[in-house]
Amino acid sequence: MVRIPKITFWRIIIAVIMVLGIYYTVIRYTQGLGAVTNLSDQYPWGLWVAFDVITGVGLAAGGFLIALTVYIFRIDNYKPILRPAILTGFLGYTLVAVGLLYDLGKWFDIWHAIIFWNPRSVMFEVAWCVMLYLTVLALEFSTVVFEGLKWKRLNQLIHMLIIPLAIFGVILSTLHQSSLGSLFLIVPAKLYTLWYSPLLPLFFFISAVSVGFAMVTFESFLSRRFLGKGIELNLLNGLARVNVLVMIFYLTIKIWDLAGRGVLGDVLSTRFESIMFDIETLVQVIIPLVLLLIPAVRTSTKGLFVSSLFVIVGFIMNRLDVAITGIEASSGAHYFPAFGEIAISIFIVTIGFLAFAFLAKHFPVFIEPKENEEEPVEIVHDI
Amino acid sequence: MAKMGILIDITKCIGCKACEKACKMRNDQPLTLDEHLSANAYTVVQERLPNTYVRRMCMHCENPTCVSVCPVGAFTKTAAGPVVYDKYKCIGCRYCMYSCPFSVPKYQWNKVVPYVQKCYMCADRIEEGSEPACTAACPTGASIFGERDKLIEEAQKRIKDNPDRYVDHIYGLHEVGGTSILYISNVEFEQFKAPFNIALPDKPLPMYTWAALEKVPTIVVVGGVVLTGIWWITSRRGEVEKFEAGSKQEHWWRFGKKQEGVKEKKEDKQ
Amino acid sequence: MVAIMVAITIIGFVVLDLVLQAVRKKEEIAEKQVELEFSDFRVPMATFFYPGHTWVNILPTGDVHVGLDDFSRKVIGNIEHIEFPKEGRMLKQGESAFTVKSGSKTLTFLSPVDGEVIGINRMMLSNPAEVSRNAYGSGWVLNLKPTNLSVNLKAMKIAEDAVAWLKVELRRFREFALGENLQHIKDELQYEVGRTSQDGGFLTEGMLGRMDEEAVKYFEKEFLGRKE
Repeated sequence: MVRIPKITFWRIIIAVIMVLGIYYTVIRYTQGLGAVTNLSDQYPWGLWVAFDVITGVGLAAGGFLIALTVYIFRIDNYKPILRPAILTGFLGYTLVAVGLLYDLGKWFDIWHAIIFWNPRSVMFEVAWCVMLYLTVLALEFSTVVFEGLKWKRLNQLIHMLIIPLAIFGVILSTLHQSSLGSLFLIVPAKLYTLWYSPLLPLFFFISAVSVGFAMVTFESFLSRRFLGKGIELNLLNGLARVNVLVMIFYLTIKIWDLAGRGVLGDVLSTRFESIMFDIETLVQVIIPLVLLLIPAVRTSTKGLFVSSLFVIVGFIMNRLDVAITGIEASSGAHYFPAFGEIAISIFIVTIGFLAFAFLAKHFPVFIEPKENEEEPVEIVHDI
Repeated sequence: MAKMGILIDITKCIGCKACEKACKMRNDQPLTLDEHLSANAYTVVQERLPNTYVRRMCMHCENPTCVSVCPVGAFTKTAAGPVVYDKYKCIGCRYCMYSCPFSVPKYQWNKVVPYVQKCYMCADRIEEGSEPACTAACPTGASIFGERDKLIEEAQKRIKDNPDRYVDHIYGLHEVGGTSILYISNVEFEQFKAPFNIALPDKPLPMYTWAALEKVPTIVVVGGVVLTGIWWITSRRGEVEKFEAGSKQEHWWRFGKKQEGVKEKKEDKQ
Repeated sequence: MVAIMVAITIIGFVVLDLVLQAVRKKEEIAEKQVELEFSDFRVPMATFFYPGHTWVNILPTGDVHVGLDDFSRKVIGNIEHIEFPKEGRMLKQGESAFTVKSGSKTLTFLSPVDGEVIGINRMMLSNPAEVSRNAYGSGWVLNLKPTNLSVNLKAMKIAEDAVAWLKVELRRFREFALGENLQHIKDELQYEVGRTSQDGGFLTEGMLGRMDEEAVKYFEKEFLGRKE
């Protein structure tokens, strides 16, 4: 029996996104960056670098955080989250690579980073970390695929490597999440004072940790909504508690840094950048922090969903502000992404959602690994 | 080879654009009149103030930002001074454009295989013992080519000899650690607007990122040791718990027997 | 501006989906039912099944765990409340042991063994996700100290027998759901015509909620073995 997929609202939207995405992809690769983007010599970095790459890497931080919790800290409660988080990480980084292939002028030479070295370049370090970490994530996720395909030998091999891999992955993530902030250390004269700080790497790292937890929460709601599979509330609640501490720490050093550099007063300025900075900080830290400090919010499904959404949106705003808004004044030009850039970005994110849904459907992503359970494995007979 | 450079004396420039034309002919670029630096214009003469012309071109920094940021090392600072670009290595990430404090590198936005474009100070001509096309074409001596040290002396002499004419500032002497291109002017440089109005530090920009990058090996080593340590402790704890659980089970068997014994006694009493 | 645009786009998508969900909830409740694969009915090979759709696991201590099998769990759907018997109470096989509440409906389950209640599982209510994942393990309801186990076990099915019994039960349930004696609920119950009688696809999660009082009584009598 041939199943005709039911036409739903989201399927129509997805179809439209796909058509637009493919259309602009063809244009981008046949006519160059200028035909699709609003990038210019004054604004060489736009939505693709800022959102698809720099923000994308941050949003995929959940994978390393949960790997750290489960493999290194051995907090077994979080095992059910491990696989979805690693899958999201893997897909997130893959999409970052896809985004790079759109954005790099000579995308076919992307492999040059492997043979031509420049260890003094932050971008070089980020490139290597992302490359290696993508490999680590692929290996970590391969256990799920092998389990689904019932390839026991390979699975055992990966299981032997899993702890070194996890440690390596955590180090790599720490390095490149912070290095994405270091990218902007090179523009002290260009970037607006509220954002430019010698502590940028630290800010980027801490906010990546915070958004990593929020993304795990957000994704579990999405998978419950679209796949009917979710994660328990008490685990998400635990993540929210940790996130409260992370956000308090972030806010503290942020204020301390602004005060230390003597620019705390600029927060109250009516300059466009200052207002953006205030909105970003409110959405990313202050509002979710206040929300999560209320126990009733922290323990409710809606409260967790809304606060994690705040963190994510605020995080995205922060990255876009640093990469785009912050240099607007010094560039002497104005940038707003072209429709093609927006379409491609949404296209890439949509591919990620579809890939997640496909893998979650066909591989044991939402099933807890059994081997370490104390109870004897029950022989289950399916009728 | 001695470090070469170019001294641009803004007071002497008449805006004839002979340098632009020479540059374009040297690089086979279309002979258009350009207002801004672009992929087709490595140098432009701009009337930044009435009757005051400022020639823009790559500053050829002593410690260039582009050389440090490029992930594939497509830029090199040659011994003679020019900063040159290897279009084969380039992957097109445009970090050089984003980070250049003078916004010099430009891009071929409408090409399918685009390259970064910027002045390379006619490095090949310098190699041959000649001078860049632009300075050779300058009719008034507003741009002169020479050893950087000698150009600095010359600039200082001009300022000293004509303190009324020049402001006491050699732009490029200290900015971002010094540049091969030096400017002297009769007007404060801030008035020329970007990039001259941006307060640049004397510290080379690559030092800012290096401060973060040099911590990488430490993070790797310390992170590796700490994480392995934590894992070792937590896994030890797990083993101990398992062991204790095992011995408890043994106790339970004994305990179970004792319990049975107690029950029997109770039954006896009944 | 870019940041605001992206933020609005993301929030826009989320809000749009929430609105859509709310609209759909009102319009087509039936379509939201989760269709279950037949393999969702698990029969652990070491677990005894009582005809009243409860199971019994014998613990190494000699006590037993009693729980709800996948069939009854699926019919109930979301368990909102369980009325447990008091600890220390003596139960007889076939006697009402506990009641499960979902929505406005309650189902009474019979005790599969004779014995004393020595423990109840509060996690059934506090952590339903864990319980449903491990329905035949940590998803127990009562902990009993059996007093007449050898006799009680004769009324139960295990392994292949349990599988065969459950197949019959599913067939009976299908007939019940589509049966003429329950014509008035037939339209509401979802089923797929193409499926064979062996298939469990017609059994959708939380069917209890869509049964009326009469159907609930009939279900309790026919499937849970309640006498009155």
